[in-house]
Amino acid sequence: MNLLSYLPFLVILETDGAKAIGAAIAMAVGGIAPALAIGMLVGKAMEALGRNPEARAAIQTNMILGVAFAEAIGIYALLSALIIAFVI
Amino acid sequence: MKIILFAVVVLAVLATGFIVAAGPEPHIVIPGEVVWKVGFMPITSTLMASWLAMAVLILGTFFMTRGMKLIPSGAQNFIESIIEFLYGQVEEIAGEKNARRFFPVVGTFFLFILVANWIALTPIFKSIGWTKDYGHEIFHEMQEKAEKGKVFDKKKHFLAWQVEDAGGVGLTQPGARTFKFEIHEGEDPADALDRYIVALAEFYTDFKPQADGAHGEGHADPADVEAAFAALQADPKAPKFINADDHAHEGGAEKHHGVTSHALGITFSALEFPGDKIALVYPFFRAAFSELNNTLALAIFAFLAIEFWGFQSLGFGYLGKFFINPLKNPILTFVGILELLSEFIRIISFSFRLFGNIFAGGVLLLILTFLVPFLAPLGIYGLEMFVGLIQAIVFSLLLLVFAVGAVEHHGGEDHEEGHGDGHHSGEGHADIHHLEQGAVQAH
Repeated sequence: MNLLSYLPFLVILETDGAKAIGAAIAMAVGGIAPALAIGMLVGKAMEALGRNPEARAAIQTNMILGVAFAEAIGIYALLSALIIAFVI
Repeated sequence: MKIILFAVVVLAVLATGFIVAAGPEPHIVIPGEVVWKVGFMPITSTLMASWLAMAVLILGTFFMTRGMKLIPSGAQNFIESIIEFLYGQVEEIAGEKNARRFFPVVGTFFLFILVANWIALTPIFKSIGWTKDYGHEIFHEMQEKAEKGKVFDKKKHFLAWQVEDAGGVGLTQPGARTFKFEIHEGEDPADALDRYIVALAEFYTDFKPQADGAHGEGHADPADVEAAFAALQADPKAPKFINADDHAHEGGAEKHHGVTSHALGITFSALEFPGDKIALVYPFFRAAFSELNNTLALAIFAFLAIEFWGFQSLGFGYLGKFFINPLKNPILTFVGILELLSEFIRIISFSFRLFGNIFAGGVLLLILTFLVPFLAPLGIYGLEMFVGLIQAIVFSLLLLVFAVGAVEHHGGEDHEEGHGDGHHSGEGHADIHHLEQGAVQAH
């Protein structure tokens, strides 16, 4: 069966419905990468902390920095979701 | 057994909350609601909130540090311990020399963001405000179009709550019912008015439309409109449509300023609400950083501060980081351009990080309060306090780290570079170094 035969479904979607789905997909897919990144970052930081507790201050600072950068990607996803839902 | 009992109690509390105190359907607005207009400048709810945070900080510090003593006690002790803790953190990252320069700005950013985020969780936020009257606005839309003899060219969706009005100021009430109305694209105002009459009657009285499809696309059934109109007239608390002919007899000239109902054939010139209004509460206060303008202001200031410190420390040699002679090292030229871009991208990520977190937290609270009024929002309030703290830390920490990066004498490439820039930067740096050592010694 041809995938294209499902296309009419997309056409009959109302604009509002399409917007809602678009925003949801943007946020859901855009959330995956930052979630993995932050999990990995914090996990590694905890490992480092266990191995070398005296370096707590340095590890914490760098961890928060890294988390902030990873989170920024999630924020971009939020931004595009907001634009899809409210502006377009 | 205990677990089952516990579960039953929790479910009972949730159910009671849902019956007694369910919030009105959340209405999400991204730009700050305009509270007042001073000249051409709108004063938004988010601006009011940041003024409130400033007032809390300024007055708090003023009263807590009145009559300072060498050996602190009480409130002075509290403030000093906060400042000392923050200074210690800054010093750890920036070193003693730079910490003295950076701390006032970084500490202010931290305290301001923290206080603004935390006071946004108090009950005055988002609950008290002007009522924005939608009942009249929907009618005026129809009047305007009818006057011009046009149809609606755009779809418009209205969501409003039943609000008890006290001189234009309203309170978001638990259990307030939600009124929804939609104007279709290409609809005649007369048809829209018919549907509006039916919708109002359904909302205010126990009228039920007989014909199918009264809500959907298309027109309302004429018999339904008549019954709805009668129901509205009969109820003293329901809104009243004022007949244009009566109005003309009383007031005189303005007879044409009305919209005619398709089904009833009567021209109406006004709408009155003797009881509750259909309105939204536009709050006086909303979390300061749930609007992009405010976070953008902070981000631009942070950007300027970083650049200022960079120039202050390295003089024009600071630019040597971004503009590198392509004849010497083309790859580094490209890297320099990327660095320059990333300086500006910081503004975006600074502002959107704070805005996204606070705005999303606000929406989460709003929707959860609507879905599960009791208990569940409590945990989210705890989470929001944590998020507010983390965002304050992240903002000020990033500012600090970028600032340290900006004032640092950049790596070995500089020495191989032309001596024009390198010489300059070295000189500027030495000057600052010298000055600061002098300052330290003076202390």
